[in-house]
Amino acid sequence: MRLSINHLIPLPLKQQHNTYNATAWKQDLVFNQGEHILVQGPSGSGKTLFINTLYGLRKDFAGKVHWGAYNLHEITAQQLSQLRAASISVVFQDLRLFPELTVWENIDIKRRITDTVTGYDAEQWLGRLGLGNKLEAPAAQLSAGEQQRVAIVRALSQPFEWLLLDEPFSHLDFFNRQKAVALIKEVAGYTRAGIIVSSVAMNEDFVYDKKMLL
Amino acid sequence: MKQRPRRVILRKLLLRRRGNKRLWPALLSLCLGTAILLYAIILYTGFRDALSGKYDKSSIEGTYLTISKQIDAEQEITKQKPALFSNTEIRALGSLPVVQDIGMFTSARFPVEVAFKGDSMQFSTRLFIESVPDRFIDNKPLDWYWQYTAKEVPVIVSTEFLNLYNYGYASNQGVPQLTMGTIQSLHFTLNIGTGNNAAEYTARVAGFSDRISSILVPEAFIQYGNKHFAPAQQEPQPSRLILKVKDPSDDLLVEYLHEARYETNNELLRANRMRTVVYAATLGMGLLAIVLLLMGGTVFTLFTELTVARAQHNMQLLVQLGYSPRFLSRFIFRRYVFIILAVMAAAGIVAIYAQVRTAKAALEMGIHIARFPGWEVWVALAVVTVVLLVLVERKVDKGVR
Repeated sequence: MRLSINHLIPLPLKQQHNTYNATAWKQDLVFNQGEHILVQGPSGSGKTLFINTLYGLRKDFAGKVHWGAYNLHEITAQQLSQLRAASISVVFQDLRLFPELTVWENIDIKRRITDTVTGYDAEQWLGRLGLGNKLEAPAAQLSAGEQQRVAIVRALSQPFEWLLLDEPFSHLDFFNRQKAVALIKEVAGYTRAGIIVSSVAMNEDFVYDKKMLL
Repeated sequence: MKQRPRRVILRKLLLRRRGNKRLWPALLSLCLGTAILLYAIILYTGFRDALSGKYDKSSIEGTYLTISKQIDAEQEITKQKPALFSNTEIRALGSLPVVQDIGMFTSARFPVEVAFKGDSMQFSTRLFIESVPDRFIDNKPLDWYWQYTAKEVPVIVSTEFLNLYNYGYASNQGVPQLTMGTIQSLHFTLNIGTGNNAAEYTARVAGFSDRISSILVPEAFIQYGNKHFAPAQQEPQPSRLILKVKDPSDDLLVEYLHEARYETNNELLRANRMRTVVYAATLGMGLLAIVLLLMGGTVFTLFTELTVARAQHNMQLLVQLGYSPRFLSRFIFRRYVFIILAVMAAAGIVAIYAQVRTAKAALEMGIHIARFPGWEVWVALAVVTVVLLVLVERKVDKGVR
């Protein structure tokens, strides 16, 4: 599925963005499935706004965003749900786990939407990220780093053609970051999924096809 | 990892049990309101059916009324003007909307004497016999017919006469009481006519009537007797009529009979008064039921709104993860469908129990009503259920959107 962006500018940034520095806003961009994109910018530059807009969480933007044939300005709630369930997955910057659920329930509630990832695989992935002994722990009791790893496994527990990662490793140490990157590359590689990563700094976690500044 | 059904996790996120205690009064109110509404309908339809004689044999005379003219003092003294019904009066009665059928009593115009010669008892007496069209006879015996060649005549006697004998005459005179079976096994001598123009028959009690206070013989026998044994004179007008009516307590009928100075049994008036009381009581119950339903329904729908509002945050996150709003609203709604159906089923069971008890109590008073609720009750239950489901579905859908 191709991602097309035409002159996208969120309304909150319309009056203040610097057109000379930004390579994401008000541009005509086309990303093909399988490409790896880095969106880099300092805090407050609009990275989360960009990811949330692509994920369909915000409608307050000018320009057009097309996921395949779907125009985000015209898409229905049902179509957006289908897109999120089977084609686009996300790791939110603020993680958005259910604090009242356990680690496993947080994964399972996502996994069961399509039931395409087996419980065994999801459990293995949690184990690889060092959470094998925390399956029954309430999410509210996890550290920020642990919560971030749960959010990553949750995002992988569905079929996807694109994976949106909003500062996905901000709470991880070097070794956990390496493990998470390896897992994401492996799972995304199964279906040649595209990845869009937002980050405050340049990084070489993935082999990027395009890099954009905000 | 032990798998839990997805619905368990969704229930944990969307249907937290906090504050559910407030739901019980609303459910109780809904159940009570529905049960009272159904019971009001049961009483209304039960009484209506009893009046219309749907289950017949009712002590409030069901559908059949015997009427005659009031005898005034002048007629009593002079005996000049017998209280007979003219053809115009019969037609006028037949044109009343509540009257479904009308039949005339035909009296024997020839002398009738009945005699019995038994081992311990002998008697002979003059009496009157009548006939009515067969369609007006309750408990019609299978052998209820007569041909002019037959020497045996079947007779139907009012159960009131048997009761008078057993509880009045027999007790007073010290003679044995008789069962219906004993009487039916006896044969009597029936002499009709006088002098050379007379005939002897054997009479046998073929059955008893709860409906008609008379001694009845088949119409063919009366017609034959009147033709061959009665003094030559024109067929007189009837002095009594039997009416089949939809509702003997009908206001119009009661008013008409009163104004025309026709007499019937007092049960009619009692039924009319009872109807007013029962209808007023069922109306009061219906209003109470509607108030309870409105209260229960309002609190219940408010509760569903509150539940949806409490689950709003988790619902948004589930939608962000890929759940469709439609799926989530169906999931929440299904829970209320179960609750509503359970409450309505409870109200239905209460209604069935109430009807069985009411039918039993009514039977003890001699009133026959259906033992199980009729279609009106089920329709009312279905309407209340559907209205509640639609209201709750709308609230949930609105909340999820």
